[in-house]
Amino acid sequence: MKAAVPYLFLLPALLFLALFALLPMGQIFYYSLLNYSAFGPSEFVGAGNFVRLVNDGNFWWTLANSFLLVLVTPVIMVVALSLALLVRREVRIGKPFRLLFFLPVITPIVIVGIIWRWIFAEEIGMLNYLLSLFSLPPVHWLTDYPTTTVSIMIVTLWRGAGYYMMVFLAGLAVIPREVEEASMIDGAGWLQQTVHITIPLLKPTLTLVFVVSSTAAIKMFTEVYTIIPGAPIANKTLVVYLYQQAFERFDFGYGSAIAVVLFLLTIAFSYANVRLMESR
Amino acid sequence: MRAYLPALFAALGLLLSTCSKEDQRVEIEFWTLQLSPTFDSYFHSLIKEYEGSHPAIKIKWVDIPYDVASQKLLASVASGSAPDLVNLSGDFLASFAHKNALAEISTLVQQDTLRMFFPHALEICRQGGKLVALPWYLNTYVLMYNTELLRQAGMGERDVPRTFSELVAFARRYKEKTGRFGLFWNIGKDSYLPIMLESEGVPMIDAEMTRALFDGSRSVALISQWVDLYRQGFLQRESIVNPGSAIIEAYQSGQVAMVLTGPVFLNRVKVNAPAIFRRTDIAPSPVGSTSRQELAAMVLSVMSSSDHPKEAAEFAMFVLDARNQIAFSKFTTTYPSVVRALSDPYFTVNDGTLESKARIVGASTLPVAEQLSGYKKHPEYFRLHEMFCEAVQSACLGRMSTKEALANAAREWNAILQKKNH
Repeated sequence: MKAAVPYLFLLPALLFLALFALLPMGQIFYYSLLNYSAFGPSEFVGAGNFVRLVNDGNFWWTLANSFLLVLVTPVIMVVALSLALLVRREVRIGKPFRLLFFLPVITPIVIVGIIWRWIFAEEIGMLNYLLSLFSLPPVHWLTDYPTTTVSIMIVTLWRGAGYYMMVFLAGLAVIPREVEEASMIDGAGWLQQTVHITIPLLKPTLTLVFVVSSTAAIKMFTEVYTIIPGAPIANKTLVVYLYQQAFERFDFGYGSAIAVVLFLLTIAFSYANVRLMESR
Repeated sequence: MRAYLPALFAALGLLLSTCSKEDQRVEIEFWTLQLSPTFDSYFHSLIKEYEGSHPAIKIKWVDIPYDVASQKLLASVASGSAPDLVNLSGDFLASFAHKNALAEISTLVQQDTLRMFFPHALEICRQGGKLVALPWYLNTYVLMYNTELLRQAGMGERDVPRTFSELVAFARRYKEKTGRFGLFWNIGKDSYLPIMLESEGVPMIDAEMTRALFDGSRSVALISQWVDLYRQGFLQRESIVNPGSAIIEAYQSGQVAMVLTGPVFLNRVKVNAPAIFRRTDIAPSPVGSTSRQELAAMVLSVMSSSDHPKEAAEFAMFVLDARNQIAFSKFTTTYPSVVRALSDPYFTVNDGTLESKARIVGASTLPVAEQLSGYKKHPEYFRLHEMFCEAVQSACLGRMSTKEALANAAREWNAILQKKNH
């Protein structure tokens, strides 16, 4: 009986998980085998939706774009870690900067999308105006592919850096002060201390941030939806394609098949990431 | 305490009897598209009046955002909680009608009452030979232009385009004279080019909806005019990616001198950019060689899953009554779908304001305006339209020639049209 007590405490959370996560996931797996539109009867098509995926150019393009966005992850990590290291020590100066860097995270994404569309505007936008000051040609931030993907990466970096900075700050807070102080007594400079002491001790946090930010990049939706709403679907991401198929064309069977592939890819990618980070 | 008991029981009894009376009423759930909170007072008094004259009916009004209307409706159908009466855009009708989600309304209302509507507006509500909706508020297009920006370009009223060819020439001439953009018009995302083609007498699709027709030499030539404008820098780069809402944003921020839009948006300019509003004038919408004009309609549909279709249709007819539609038009600056309502002085007498001029210009086209793009009646309308838009985008970005892009899109259309029809 005593052994069962922890499980009893876990039971409410497990019930919620089963009801709101596992059950819908199971349903998605089931729907992926159907021709299902929510209107009228559904039809069992077996692997038909997956065969359709293999022959669908838009699926491959959007899948490639989703993975292309993962390239922003190392940049986010470097920027977020740098910010965390900057604001870590100086409590008086650091606090307002923490708030400033975190501000993009709490700004509603729809407003972010509108503001960045103005910044990226190709004839009247601020970015191209700044480029023109250095006699550089305008960049087609909103119309030319794959430049549109770079635009999304810029917004992701702007929005994500503050969030991951906070995660790094939490990681830095648990590093024993004595270890860093000992390295200083031994004559290590700031850079040596950061590279040889702080970053190795931050490995669990680095793994966490890498896995979370890269899977978030693969699942990118809102930024794409608000910043390049008019771009061809092949220039968008897999989750946007999923949304289009399921909720704009009501093809839930096909949308579910995309979701299943996305789920399996994300699991595999996250597992590979964790193994890779842990092996180093 | 005991003295209060009879009064307490009496009050409780009264409360219970009221509740049971409430429960006996037939509830009609009525969904509208993004009309709350702006028009709350109109709907509250409308519903109050109806419930007053129909004690057995209770109207439950639910307003949903326009952008997610079809998703919300779909979710409600899937979960078995669909409304009884729903406000839809004419563009959404085909996909819901094809899925048998909408009741045939001609069996629910008296046939002779249908004569009160503009025939073209009623036509929008017909899908596959069935009447699946009734037209509610309508909109048409006018040309809105900034007189000051035109003056600075050495241009005046005589330079305001009357045809689509003149509109192309205007965009070119204005930029050459000022270095600024004369016009913002969506040609890629939410493209208006199908309206232009139809008005020029080039249909997008055949009458049986089995074959795309926009890849012919005339349509290639007409679309190429706009693609060339874009490629040569006479249109803003975002003209191919920004949504329809960007039209009025570009005008009210003073980026462009002219836009083709609904008179309904004049109010937005007045509120957001009063200085630009003071310099604004209105002209009739440019047309193609056939002079045909586009009509946009909001409609009311009874859901086929409704338990009270008769009652829902009866309430719909009350909402669509000429008196109520005129009152609604005065709130929204849209047009009523009832012919008789248009003779109200509100739509005919110019009181000297720009709003009334815009209203009258728009109203004058209403009896002849129609839904030009026949493929809006195809269940895969959004998919077809998206393919066309992406073809125009590819041509504008120089990825392929206009002819090649349209030929590819037509091939994709034909694959869908033939699959659905055979």
